[in-house]
Amino acid sequence: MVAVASNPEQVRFISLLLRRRTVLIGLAVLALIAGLAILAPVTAPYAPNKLSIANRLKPPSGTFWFGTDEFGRDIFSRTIYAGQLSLLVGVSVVCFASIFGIALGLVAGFFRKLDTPVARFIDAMMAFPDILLAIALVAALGPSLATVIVALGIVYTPRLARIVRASTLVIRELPYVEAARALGVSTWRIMTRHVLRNLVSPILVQATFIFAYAMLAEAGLSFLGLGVSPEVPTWGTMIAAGRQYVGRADWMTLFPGIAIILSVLSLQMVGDGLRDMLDPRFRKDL
Amino acid sequence: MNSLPADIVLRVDRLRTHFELGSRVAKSVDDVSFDVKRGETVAVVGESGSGKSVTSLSIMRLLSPPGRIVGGQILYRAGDGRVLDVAAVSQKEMRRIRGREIAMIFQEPMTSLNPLYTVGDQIVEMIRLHEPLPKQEARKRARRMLELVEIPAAERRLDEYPHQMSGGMRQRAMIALALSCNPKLLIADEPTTALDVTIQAQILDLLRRLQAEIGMSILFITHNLGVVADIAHEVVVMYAGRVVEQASSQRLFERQKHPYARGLLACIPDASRDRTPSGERLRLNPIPGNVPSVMALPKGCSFAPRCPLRIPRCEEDPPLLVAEPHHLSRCWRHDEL
Repeated sequence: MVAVASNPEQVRFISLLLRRRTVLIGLAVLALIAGLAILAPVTAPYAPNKLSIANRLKPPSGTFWFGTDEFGRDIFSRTIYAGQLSLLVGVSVVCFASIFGIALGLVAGFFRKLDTPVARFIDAMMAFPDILLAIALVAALGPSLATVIVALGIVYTPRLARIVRASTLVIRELPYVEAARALGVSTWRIMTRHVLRNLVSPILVQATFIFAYAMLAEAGLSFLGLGVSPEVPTWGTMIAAGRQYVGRADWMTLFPGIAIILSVLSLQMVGDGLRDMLDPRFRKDL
Repeated sequence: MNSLPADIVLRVDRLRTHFELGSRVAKSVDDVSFDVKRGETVAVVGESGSGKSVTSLSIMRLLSPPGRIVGGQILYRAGDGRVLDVAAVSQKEMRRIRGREIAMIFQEPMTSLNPLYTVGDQIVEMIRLHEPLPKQEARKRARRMLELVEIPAAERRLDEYPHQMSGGMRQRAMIALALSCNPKLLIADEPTTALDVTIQAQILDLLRRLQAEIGMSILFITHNLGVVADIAHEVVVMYAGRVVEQASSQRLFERQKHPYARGLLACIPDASRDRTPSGERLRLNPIPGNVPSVMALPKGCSFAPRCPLRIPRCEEDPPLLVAEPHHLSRCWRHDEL
């Protein structure tokens, strides 16, 4: 990371990036959500599973900011704790998809003989609707947190693999890669030091999008009862539980829904900003 | 076992490199032989498509498929005295040879350095790749290398990125990078083509000076015969994948024994004789036509269709003939030239 910050071009890149208002707002919202979730024991006013029958289905008020659910649990506290899980799923899926996507993409881009089989495999996976594939995988592996992460990781691996492969094909032919080879640099070192380093930016863009999709998909799976067990608070399970009370206690679905929207939207804004920065056609105005 | 005379660093012996595309075969390098002596420069000259770059890539074993060495030997005397057939050694051995024994610089100084790393980083990487030196030592050596290639303020330049340097400066940095592990042979593939003329002359000067100081051999690939006169001891002229003329630089510039080499020289403008005695401007004499595709070579002498001296006998493929002692020519009419 020291090397990243010491590169003047990248310092300039980051400062230009932060000058975009959408990126700045996105990052701020994201930091707020992440901060609240990570510090949940401090930030949440109540324990997420503290029952209080006297306070069933209370609307938002000074005591219960987001209201309470059918067991009198504080929605605000539960939303914050649920954020932990959503972030965990998002980060884990991004890591999973990055590791396998980068590996597959580099192999396909670098070794001509493996290109066709790997690329066709990736295309075949891309042809499957995301959520359907995830549902099928969870159904096959059994619902649990680990399963959700693995299933979503598998679903989003091809997205990264495709981008890494395409960029590798270009960079592999650049003169400095040939020069490195002519000076005795091994293929592995060329792949990691010369090719992968050049791919950091597009991978970062894709990773933010995958982060957002994964959070959304996790909520969807939980809503459908295919994620973690229903008593664990996640935004998806909270909305699923609140569904029966729509009309009577709208706040049960409203606030977890807003949490999903805000986190996905802010990630998309950051991702869009990053992508625009990397596209010379959009950079002109800066 | 392979053996080489003591003063020869590299012997390319009947090298044949083909590109097989389906049923068609491109004979990009066909039966090419030459020696590179210790401390000397051999220039390989030819137009685009003559096979000169493929020859250099064959020596480095950097051909990309479907290119393949199909015959001949590339004998190289390694630092430890062994004579290796570069065309046959393992990939692992080859990696050790690249950079440490044989280094290469390229035509595009603008893109031959990785834009993401400082010049110092790249030289240090290269040194530490081949020698177990601590970082600080490697950095010191990197600075000395930059000084050696006459880059001013070497210490500061080490921490600069390639985009902060000019083309000539980058080519110098590239030369420093290539020479940082003391290779015995430097392959320079059109190192001055992308540079303007004054910088070109500086780089040639530099290479000549480095050769005198370090004693390395240079295999210089170029299409510019004018450059060759400045630097080469021996010249190999290639055409359509074959050697058509080979002689010492001095001899070749005095007297060409192949119409192609003569044609190449006639293309170089010369300010001292660009007017006739009556004051008219002389026209340059380009060689008509193009190099034939190595996929579809004409029958007989491959230069014949463009040759002003063509005779019926040229239907028959001429061998490489000894025109004079140490002067080879692939032309039936070499003694008339």
